[in-house]
Amino acid sequence: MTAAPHTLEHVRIEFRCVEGALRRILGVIEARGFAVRSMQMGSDEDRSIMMLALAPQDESRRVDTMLKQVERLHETHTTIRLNGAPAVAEVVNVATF
Amino acid sequence: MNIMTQPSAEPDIQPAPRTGAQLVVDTLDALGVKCVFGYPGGAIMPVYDAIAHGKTRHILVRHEQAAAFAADSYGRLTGRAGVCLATSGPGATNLITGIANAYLDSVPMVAITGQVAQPMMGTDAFQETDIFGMTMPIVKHSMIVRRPEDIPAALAEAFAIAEGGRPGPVLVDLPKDVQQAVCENPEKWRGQADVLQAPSPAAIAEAERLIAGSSKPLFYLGGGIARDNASGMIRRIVEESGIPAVATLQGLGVLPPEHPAMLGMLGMHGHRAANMAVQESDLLIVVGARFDDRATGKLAAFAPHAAVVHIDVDAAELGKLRHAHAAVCGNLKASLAAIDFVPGAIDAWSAQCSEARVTHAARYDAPGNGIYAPAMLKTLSERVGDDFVAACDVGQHQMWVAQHCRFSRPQAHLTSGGLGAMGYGLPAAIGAKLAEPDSHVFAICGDGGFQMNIQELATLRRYGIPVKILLLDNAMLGLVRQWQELFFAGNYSEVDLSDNPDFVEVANAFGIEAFSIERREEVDGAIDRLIEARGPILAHVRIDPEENVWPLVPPGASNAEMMEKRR
Repeated sequence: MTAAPHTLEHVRIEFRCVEGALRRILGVIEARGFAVRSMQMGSDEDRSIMMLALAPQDESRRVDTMLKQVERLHETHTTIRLNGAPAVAEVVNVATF
Repeated sequence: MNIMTQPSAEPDIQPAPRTGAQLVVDTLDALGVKCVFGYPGGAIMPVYDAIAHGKTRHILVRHEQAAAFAADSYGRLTGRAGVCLATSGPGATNLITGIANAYLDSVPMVAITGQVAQPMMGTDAFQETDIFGMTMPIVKHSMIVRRPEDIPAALAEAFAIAEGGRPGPVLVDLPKDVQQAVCENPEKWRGQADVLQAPSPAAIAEAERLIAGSSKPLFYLGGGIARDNASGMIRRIVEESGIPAVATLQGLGVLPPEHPAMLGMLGMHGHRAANMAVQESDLLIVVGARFDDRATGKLAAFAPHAAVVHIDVDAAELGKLRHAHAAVCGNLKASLAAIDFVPGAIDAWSAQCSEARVTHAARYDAPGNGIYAPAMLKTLSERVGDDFVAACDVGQHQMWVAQHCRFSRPQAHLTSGGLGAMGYGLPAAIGAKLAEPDSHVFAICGDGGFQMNIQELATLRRYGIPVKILLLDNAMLGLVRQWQELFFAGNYSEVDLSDNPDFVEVANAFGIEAFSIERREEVDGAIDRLIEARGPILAHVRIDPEENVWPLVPPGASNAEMMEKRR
């Protein structure tokens, strides 16, 4: 069952651009119950940033939990939930990247 | 990555030039790897050529799945990553079940696979599979090593990741040309000496406030305690605080069953005293556990009156399934040391739990003359004592082991908890005996699971590994049969194994001593014979095909709705 459009979650993930990293991160997102509705990504030599719009499979799926699961991947630098209320420290972290 | 890792060692590598394969062996030696479980094949042959000249002992199993299971148990008992080695294609895919097992139970493991040469990768070459991609969801980390000079650093990093933080399996895929290439200047791992997150003072203060205000607190002990070797600390805290405890399948042994505060295992086949305490508790202090559905039953009805203090090394587990009122993230020992476990007035609660523990204690007075497996298992574990280590398969016997065996430490209970993989028992016992030669290691198997890795009798024979096998044979896939009886209107579909082979003859054909029993009066003699045997031995024990595991929480039900044996 797909979620209604208004339930889309927007996230930003910064990660180390190494072999398998993209597959691994997207795999965690899908396996934990979020469908990728749109994606933008850019990389420099060793860092990548992607912005994703995600649709949770059902109401029980919590984006904060999924982002913690992405964060424990060794390639992941930071994750931010954009349509929540990110902490000031997180915003500063993004701004300095 | 929020949890950092510690390097296992700085590999001291032989002077160059070395081939990639030689660097693999050099690095394993330098990292102190004493034992590798594996099976050779085309794409890993350079490593096998080199391993004959290394210090690391290689154990040739008869199926790669057994290599992974043996590495798993080796890792559980030693705390160091168990190592399994296989070729590309089918060799690598045969490791997958074992890798998944290690992932779901947070076991340190390094799986090394051969791969076709890099120019052949992506061409559907002979014995090519994308094992790197196939295992991504079931590894803590993985890598394809593309240059021979990267091998020492890659392996050092793999061990550090596998063993650090919340442990898990790491896959290292080695293309054959990388193994064969000669390297002049291998690179050392320059990974950071990582530091675990310190527990938050605010979370600790909140945990202490909740504990002080609780009149019905309860420890909920999980497998993370074994991984962090924190059992001794937990025992002291339980004894000083007087707070009763329950354990998950992986937490059994943190407190031995005779400990007055230990109410037993919670969950689907848990003890009634444990499940009822959870349902009545006003505060669960969850240590190294993850609210697995087999433990919680219907989550919405689980511990309905309880606040939660959740202590775990993995931030992603905190609040995943149950809200944590105090989420303490960090190394378990550091977190436990930081918290003052001083509850409110809990004398009435402790007395209530103690009384329930006695009232609902298991009974062993089964009618008839047949062998009652729970009684035999209890007697066996108590006779062996603190040196008892048991590796199980999955099914009814696994639950009887959990319910009735005495374990002096959680590492001694080797069981496939998260994955529930039949076939784990025998290879896990092999890994266990090699990890702890002085322990008394038993493979406790059902007739279904035993036949999934029965070929490992040859490994026992080859190396003379004195594993004792207790084969509980009900000629059924017993747990499936039980569910079909209770939840599928007795429609017994594909569970009959009455055409099993003669297991004594099979064992003898592999060169293993074996005997069979079927009457209750034969049990004590069989236990004596198992304990006294100096080499590998198999006891084939015929049990009632219609015996069930009790208690049982029906699937989807609350833990308060336990079904009991009809007497």
